[in-house]
Amino acid sequence: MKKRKKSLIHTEGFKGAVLLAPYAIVFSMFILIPVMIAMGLSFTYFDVINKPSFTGLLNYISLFTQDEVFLKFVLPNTFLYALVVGPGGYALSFLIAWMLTQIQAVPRTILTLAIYTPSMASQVFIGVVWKTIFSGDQKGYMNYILMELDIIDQPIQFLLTKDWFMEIMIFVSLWSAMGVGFLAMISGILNINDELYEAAYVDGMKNRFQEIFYITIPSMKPQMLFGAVMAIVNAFNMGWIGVTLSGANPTPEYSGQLITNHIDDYGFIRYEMGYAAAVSVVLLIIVYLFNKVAHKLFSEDD
Amino acid sequence: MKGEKTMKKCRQTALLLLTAAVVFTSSLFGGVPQKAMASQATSYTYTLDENGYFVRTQDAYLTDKTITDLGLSGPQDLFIDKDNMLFIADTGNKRIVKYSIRTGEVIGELQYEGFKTPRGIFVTEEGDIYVADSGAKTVFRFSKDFELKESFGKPNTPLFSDTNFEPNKIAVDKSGNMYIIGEGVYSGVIQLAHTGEFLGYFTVNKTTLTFSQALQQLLFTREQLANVTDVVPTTFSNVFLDDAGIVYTTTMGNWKNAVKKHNTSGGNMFKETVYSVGEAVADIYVDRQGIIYSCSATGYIDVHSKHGELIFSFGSSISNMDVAGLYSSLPAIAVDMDGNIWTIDGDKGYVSSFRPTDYAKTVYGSMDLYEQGRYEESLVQWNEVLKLNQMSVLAHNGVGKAYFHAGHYEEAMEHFEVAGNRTYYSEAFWEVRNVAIQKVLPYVFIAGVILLIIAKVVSFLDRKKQRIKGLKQHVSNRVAEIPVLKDFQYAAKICKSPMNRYYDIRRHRKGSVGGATAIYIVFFIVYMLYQTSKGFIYQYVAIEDMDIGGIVAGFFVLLGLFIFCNWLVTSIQDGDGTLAQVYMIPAYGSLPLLVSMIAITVCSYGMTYNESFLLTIILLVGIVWSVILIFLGFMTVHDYSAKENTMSILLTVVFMIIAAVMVLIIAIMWEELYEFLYTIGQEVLRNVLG
Repeated sequence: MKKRKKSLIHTEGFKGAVLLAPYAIVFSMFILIPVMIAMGLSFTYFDVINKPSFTGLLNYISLFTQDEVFLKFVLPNTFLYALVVGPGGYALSFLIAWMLTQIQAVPRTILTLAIYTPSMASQVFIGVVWKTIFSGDQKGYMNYILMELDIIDQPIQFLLTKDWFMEIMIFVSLWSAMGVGFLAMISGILNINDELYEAAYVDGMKNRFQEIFYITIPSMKPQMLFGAVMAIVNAFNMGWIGVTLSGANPTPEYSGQLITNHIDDYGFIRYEMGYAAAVSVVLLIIVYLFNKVAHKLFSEDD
Repeated sequence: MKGEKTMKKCRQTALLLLTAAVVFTSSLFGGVPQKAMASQATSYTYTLDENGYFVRTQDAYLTDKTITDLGLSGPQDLFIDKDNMLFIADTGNKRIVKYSIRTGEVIGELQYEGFKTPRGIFVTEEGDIYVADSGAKTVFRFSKDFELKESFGKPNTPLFSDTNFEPNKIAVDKSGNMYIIGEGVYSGVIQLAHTGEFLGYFTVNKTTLTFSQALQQLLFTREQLANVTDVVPTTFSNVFLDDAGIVYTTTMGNWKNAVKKHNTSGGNMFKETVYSVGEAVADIYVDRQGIIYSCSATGYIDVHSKHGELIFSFGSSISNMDVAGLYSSLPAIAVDMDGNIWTIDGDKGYVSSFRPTDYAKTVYGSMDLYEQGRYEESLVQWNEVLKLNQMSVLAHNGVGKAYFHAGHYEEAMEHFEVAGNRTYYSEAFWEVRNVAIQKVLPYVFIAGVILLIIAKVVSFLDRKKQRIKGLKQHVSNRVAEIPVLKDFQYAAKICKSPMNRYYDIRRHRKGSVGGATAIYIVFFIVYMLYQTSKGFIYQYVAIEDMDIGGIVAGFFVLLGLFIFCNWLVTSIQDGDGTLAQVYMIPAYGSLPLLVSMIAITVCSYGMTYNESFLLTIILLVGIVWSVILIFLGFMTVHDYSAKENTMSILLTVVFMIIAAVMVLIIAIMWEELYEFLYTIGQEVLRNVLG
């Protein structure tokens, strides 16, 4: 009996399990189990106070058949936003990262910090900078400039009406899109061996354009993939930008309503947790599918 | 509203023809009174069709009374109060005439020694009569018994400074604030408090610079600018206040946005452009329902809905003919409680009225019901209108909206389609599609899951023998042997790795002129489908209105010209590509655009405006991708750097322009030459042989 026990402790599997345990426990406690619970809740009706009651697929069915707001505004908005901000922010990140690597170290560090800051502190920035610029009275900078140039004759309510809300949201998001993925790209570009470029020039490479396509991008595939994944996850999770800009959830006439706002709306304003959980599961599936596409495009074994 | 100018001509010709026809028929029948087929309307009524062009419609108004015995001299303004009393500002005789519409006689006459040129009149609900007198530079306020209560002269605040105070027109709100149009005041509508205190300018017309003026502003020095005449905003011509206290203004000299409906801060409430037929809107009147009547000094009367859509337009250019409904000058318009339009002829001093036909009344009635939210009743009324005029855009819109609000989306779609109302059609279609999706969704979901399972199982069973992979390879190999498909397969490969595949073309290993031609033909067919056969929502121009010949010729000529010019340019510039290669590059590079056009054409049938961004993105990706491919293609076959390639393409465009100009010149010269030879030939025939 004793002998057998000892041998169990000494098996490779057990050692591995012990080594893994701290991480596994914390991971499952804070991520895996909550996700599982959310998935479970999505099949119930749960209002936080009463016990959840099992309703089967009802939440999903009503999401795709009865939730007009979801089908008419949230879904198209989310796709538009993700399609523009995802690839747009990604391309912008790469472009700026590449440009930064072309200059000397000191200005590069300063500029990198300056460009990276918005993604860290954008809640504050949006409050201070963008809300002032797009303020709805004639003292807002944008309105003031447009009125000075005689383009409009009455101030536009940029943040309180649906007309320009999505455009502004996308613009602000692109501005704050230079996040972790951007840092990864800079380090990726800086890590490329200079000899590769030299060799390529010896072999007849003519210009920067070819440099980027034949050396830079192929040499930093992992960082590119990381950047792409970050861009996608970001694009689907930036719903708070609309809420911060307009100061309300739902956003004006649902013009900037993304899936995350919809989840917030149902989860923390209406306290329909089961339904909100169902929406988040749908979001999870969408993000997963997009990540699959990103892996197809950028993974190593191309 | 593209046909404005031609429209006017059309109307004049139509009128001439009408007169000619009358003269002709009457001479034909020797003056025997015939039963007239035409109505008593003296001008045609127009409305807008689904594309925004003018189209004739039933007569909306018939001439009614013409009163010539009031002894008016140059009357300038009209007002009808809630008791159906018509007030006429008889400017030439320095008096105000009060005329009862019900009994048809003059009730009273307001004469005051202070009057010089009383040109504007407004009567409040309490019966106070406000008279704007530009000659006396004063606004007078009389009680309903014609006794002077107050008079307001030029405000003496420094703010008003030395601006002219010559009140032409006036409107007064419930609290006694006055809105005054002053002669030669560019700053806007003068607003006075009931005490006569100057409150500021209520609303301002913006100056609009023409292109050359903007250029002058940009380039000229201050001295030079001083010599240029100042650009001043167009002045307001009239002002009106409706029962709800909303201020309306009219502006002379515009046919766009000449009629404005103002919010309390002076902004224009009409979102869409409001079109007026006569370009000199002189007066405006708004009835209790909110329908806006305006007349232009050129003789036309327009009726707009409360949202600024043109409902009717009738009348004709000013002339000196003594025909009821035609004017030698038309300064004022008013509408009585029964909906009759009253106007005056400023030169001849006639007062004339129009009464609405049943058609017009039904239209207004149904609009009113709709506005009140009584959709069912408005539907009945709109159907009445449709019986009278099957193509009435207004009615189809009305019926559609009524159905829409009642939840009958499919019927609504039909009517919106006839009315050309794509926005509402899209809304209705969304609902219809939603129902359809809900019906199908479970089956699609189940089918998808089953297919997924089958695919997984098959690939699991096949993992050792890899039969499917072999089959795929086999199919692709077979496709590579079929003539046209082979080229598309190659084009698809180019999309993936353009540089290497284009290198094959450069080395003459792949690609053929025949294949490229096949792609061009397919591309052309797809392009034509894309232009002509999208779903209703996205097909903005109907196929019958398209210049198909122009599109076809433009497509092939531009393409041919581009290829030829690029070949010419690159042969000078050390480009390696042969003409055949230059011909092939755009074809093989156009696949993304081709696919995106197919996708858009197909998707446009299932998409509403809600998802229009998807189509935009598809098109954008297609275009950008194709342009990049073609650019890289030229770069590869000519062995250019990016800079050289850009230069050569720019040069190609310049060459294309030059070639087009040359062709034009040759064509003109040839015509001249032909003319010359023809004349010589005729000379020879006549004088030498004949």
